[in-house]
Amino acid sequence: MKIERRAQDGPLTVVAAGGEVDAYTGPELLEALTDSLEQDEGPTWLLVDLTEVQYLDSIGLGILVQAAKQAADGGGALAVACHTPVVLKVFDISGTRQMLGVRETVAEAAALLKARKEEADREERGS
Amino acid sequence: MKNAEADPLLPVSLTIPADAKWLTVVRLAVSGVASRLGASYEDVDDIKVAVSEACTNAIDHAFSEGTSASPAICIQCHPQENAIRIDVSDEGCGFDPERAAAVADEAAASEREGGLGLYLIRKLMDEMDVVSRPGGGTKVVMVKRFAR
Repeated sequence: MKIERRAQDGPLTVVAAGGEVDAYTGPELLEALTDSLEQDEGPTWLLVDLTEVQYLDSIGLGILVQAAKQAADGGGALAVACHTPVVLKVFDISGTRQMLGVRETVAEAAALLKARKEEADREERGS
Repeated sequence: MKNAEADPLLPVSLTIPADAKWLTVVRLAVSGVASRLGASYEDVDDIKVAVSEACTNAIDHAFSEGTSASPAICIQCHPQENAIRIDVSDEGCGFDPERAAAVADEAAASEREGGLGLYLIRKLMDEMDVVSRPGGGTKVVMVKRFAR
């Protein structure tokens, strides 16, 4: 599996993965996501680019769910870009597509995260 | 000399060490067999995930209690008429299948990782059965009927 931590896209932190995410390669993804979530002092707006991932199973799903909860606990959010049918099916069957903010392109996932950040910023200003 | 294609009852078998680094090989092998038997791309994807999940369960749980059994997993693909039956078996410590089913339901409801593998297998395959008993190994039997 190939993991790339890209430079920040504005307020977003981007982690891109490629290949297969299973019990053997999953720990690499977990480490990359955990590092990204821990490096920010404030909320993390984490975009996980899985557009080059051909396979992901329950191990990968568990890692993403854990990262999404960690991001939410810190006041941020996670969104996933993915268009691989077998991976989308795993999201659908497990009922995690909405919770993980899955979109088919990186641009759509980034737009979702930016909208959530603006909403969080508005709430903070209003409180 | 007969080959697997000529005899629909001859299973195609693969035995791997109980180590996650072999999962990708299992997926490649099972995908190849299913394609050869006429499965669609979508069916092949479903089979690939289901078999990989069954192997992952065996790797994670079958040999975790210091059993002296050989830490290996056997995958057998049995060609059927317009379908494939796949058995994933180990000679590990075994478990209570009723408890495993309850864990799978609980996992699906709570979006947590443990037990989700069995839930995915049930959803992706047309039939699934788990034969296991404490100390007696485990066999997961799955059937996928090919979409026409």
